[in-house]
Amino acid sequence: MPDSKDSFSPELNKEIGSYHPINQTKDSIMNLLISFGFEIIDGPEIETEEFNFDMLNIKKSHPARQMHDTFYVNNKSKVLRTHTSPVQIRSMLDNDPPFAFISGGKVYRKDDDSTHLPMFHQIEGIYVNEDVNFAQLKHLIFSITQSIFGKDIELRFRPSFFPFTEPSAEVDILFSEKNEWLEILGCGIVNPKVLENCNIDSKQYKGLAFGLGVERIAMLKYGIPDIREFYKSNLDFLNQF
Amino acid sequence: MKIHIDHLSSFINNRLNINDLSKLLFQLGHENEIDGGIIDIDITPNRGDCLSLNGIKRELTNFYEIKDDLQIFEKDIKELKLDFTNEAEEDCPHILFLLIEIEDIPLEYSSYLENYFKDLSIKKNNFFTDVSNYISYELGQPTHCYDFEKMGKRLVLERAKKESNFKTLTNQEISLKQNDLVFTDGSEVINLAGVMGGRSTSCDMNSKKVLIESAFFQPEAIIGKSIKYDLNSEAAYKFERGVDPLMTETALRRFIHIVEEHSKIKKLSIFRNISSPYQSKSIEKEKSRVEDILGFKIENNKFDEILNNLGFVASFDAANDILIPSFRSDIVDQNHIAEEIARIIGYDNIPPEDLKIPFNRSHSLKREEKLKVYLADNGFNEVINYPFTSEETQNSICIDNPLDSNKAFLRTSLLNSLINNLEYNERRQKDSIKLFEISNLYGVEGSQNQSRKIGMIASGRIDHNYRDFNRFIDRDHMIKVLSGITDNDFYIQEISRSLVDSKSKTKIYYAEFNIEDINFKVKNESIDKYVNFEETTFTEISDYPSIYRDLSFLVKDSSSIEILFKALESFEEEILIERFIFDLYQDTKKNIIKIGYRFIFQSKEKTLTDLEVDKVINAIVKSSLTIDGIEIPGI
Repeated sequence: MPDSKDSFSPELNKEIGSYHPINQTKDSIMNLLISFGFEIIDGPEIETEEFNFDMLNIKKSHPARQMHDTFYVNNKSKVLRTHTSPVQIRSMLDNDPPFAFISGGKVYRKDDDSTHLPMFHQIEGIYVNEDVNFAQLKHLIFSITQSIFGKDIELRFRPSFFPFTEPSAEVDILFSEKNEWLEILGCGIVNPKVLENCNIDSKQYKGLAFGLGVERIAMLKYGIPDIREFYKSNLDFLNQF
Repeated sequence: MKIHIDHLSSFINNRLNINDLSKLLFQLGHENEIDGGIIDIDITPNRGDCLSLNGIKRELTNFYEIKDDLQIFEKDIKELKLDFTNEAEEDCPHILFLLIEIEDIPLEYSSYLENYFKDLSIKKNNFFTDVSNYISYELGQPTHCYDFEKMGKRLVLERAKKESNFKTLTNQEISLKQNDLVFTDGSEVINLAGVMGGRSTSCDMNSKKVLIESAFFQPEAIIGKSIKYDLNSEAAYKFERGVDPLMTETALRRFIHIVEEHSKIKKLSIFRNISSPYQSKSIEKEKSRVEDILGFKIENNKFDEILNNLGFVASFDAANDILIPSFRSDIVDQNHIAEEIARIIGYDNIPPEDLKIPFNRSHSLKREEKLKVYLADNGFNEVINYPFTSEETQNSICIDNPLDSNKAFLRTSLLNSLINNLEYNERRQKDSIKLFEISNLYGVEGSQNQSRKIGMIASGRIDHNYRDFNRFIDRDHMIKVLSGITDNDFYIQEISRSLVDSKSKTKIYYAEFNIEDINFKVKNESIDKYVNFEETTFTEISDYPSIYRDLSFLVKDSSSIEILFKALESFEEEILIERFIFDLYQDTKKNIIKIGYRFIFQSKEKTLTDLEVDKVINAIVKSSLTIDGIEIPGI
């Protein structure tokens, strides 16, 4: 029989809530990059075309600047930033090299379908110093991706095109179960024009830069098949993280 | 761009394997997919020079022995007298017209021409248009064929002075805007330059006398036109990305050669309008700079060989300059040369070099991270919402080109987003909802008027345990949670149920405040519990309703409790997704304990029936009753 003197109290299960999986992924990567020596910088989500495009060597004629790709606000006076790169431009203008910055946050593109969202999250990093090169960039990308996906991953670097880096690369990771290469990030050596735009002597300094989509990393990391799940605010989804 | 392996193989002495080719194209920066004998290549926007068989062939010169035996018409061509005025020389610095008349329209095509249509499943049009399309595929130079008999006497290239209606050769009616680059016959538009010709002068099955236009249009003059007018134009795609300024006449001479293979040519004459001849460009040869950019040494010969094979002219004696080929308008500085070298060597073959960033930084927990950990510990779930809303306030920023009219403004409060999230979850039978969102909010002054806020919404049961199951979130509960993060009195709002479309009746509480106003009282040293790289595997979410069943156990022997709990917790069934003690009653006088257990069932494949749920419940009941001292009153 239960002991009448002691009251019986089983463990009180308290449900814990959740840190959004996108912010978990973003903050894990940001914290990793801090441990590598990067410093977090922040900036506005509503930007001028000058900082979002011109300073990054994205010409007026570039398709990304068309109304069908970018959200314009207040009678076309500003844009919803299409990447976090303008944050880096602002910090490059305010600082003398060497420096290593990371910015992370929401970015906007005029897309809305099963694989593209009008808002998503990016993390971008830039390191400017005198002796920076592409081989070091590869080392950094290996360090980041191995921390996220494990030591045994296989990566593929292939040339690509971004107006703000040259040489540019896209990096794919091999998912052995499906024997499929999936793109995970873009990177490159900072285009000397971008350095010059920020009053940095491109003969003396070089930069390496990378950018990744947080949703994509989170989808691959957690095995989430549909990007739209992140923004349904479904408790059955959120509670899994 | 789609190419067929057989078409490429005809230029290459070695045997070409499609999988090897695909892999090599990836190495060179050309993403691709194989579909039978076709490789569909995604060419980056800076590499317009690769949008042809010839362009891809050039890319492979470092890896294969390539035949260079393009057959063209090499004889002199009589000059054509044409009443042409180029009023847009900046947009089109050189343009050529070839007048060609044939005796008979060919009924059959040579095998290479026939195979182009067959292998790529392309529909034939008429002889001249077919040859034009083939030339564009082979050499990357778009040409346009006018039926000469349908043309007026004059031809003018100009920026349109007024708006006008235009019917394309594919029968689309469009309203051209002022300033579009067009060809006119002096009054009417007959061709949207570089994009698509007009119906009125288009070739047909009977066309024997045609005027073929071969031009170099500046990309800026063409960009955006095909999207603006919803025209599917391969010519525009190529001009937008830049064609080879030295290809205009070669393309026409290739055209003549192909026509000559198919029919007797009766008349042939050419008109050239070159206002600004192509000026060759060169770049200083700075091998050491390229090595600095890439981080490894390259042999002298290898450096030159790679570039020469890509069409550059680089040699040790050549006054230290590298001549850039006319088709590579993308090459500007040493970084571009570095990319060329690296592509051919293969990015994957570049050995990584240790990178040490010379700064030491340590991560100290930021206010927001602390806040999220605290709220998650208190059962709140973080959500992220889009900022778009239909609701305009005095302070709202208006989006000039919204996705739709319901998303025309940026939200100035988090309230509506969180109400929607609450409603969504209540309609999914959730009875304890605690959500928060942290976001920037913007007002009309743009970035000057930015605030970072947190919104918290909560409704329903406080928790799913025996102490809190029958207690509901109220103002006191919200105050208790908020007291951990601030000394200030925040306004906690009760939200009217009329704003929520669900069957729930529990009270809804909301608080919103500036992140800056948070004054942390709780110590939180780590976020590792929530933020880490540990494996979490997502399980698919069911869209079917859940069903619950409650069982009330009467325990008369305390030693049985642990056995009962163990049995209940370890009971496995796919449709049993959650279980918890929702009620606990002890009668110390009678020495009995009553335990209320809730079991929640849900299937990923269908709506469950009572029968299916009862089957599992009966099994639970049966196994529980085998434990000594356990009863289920009523059963």
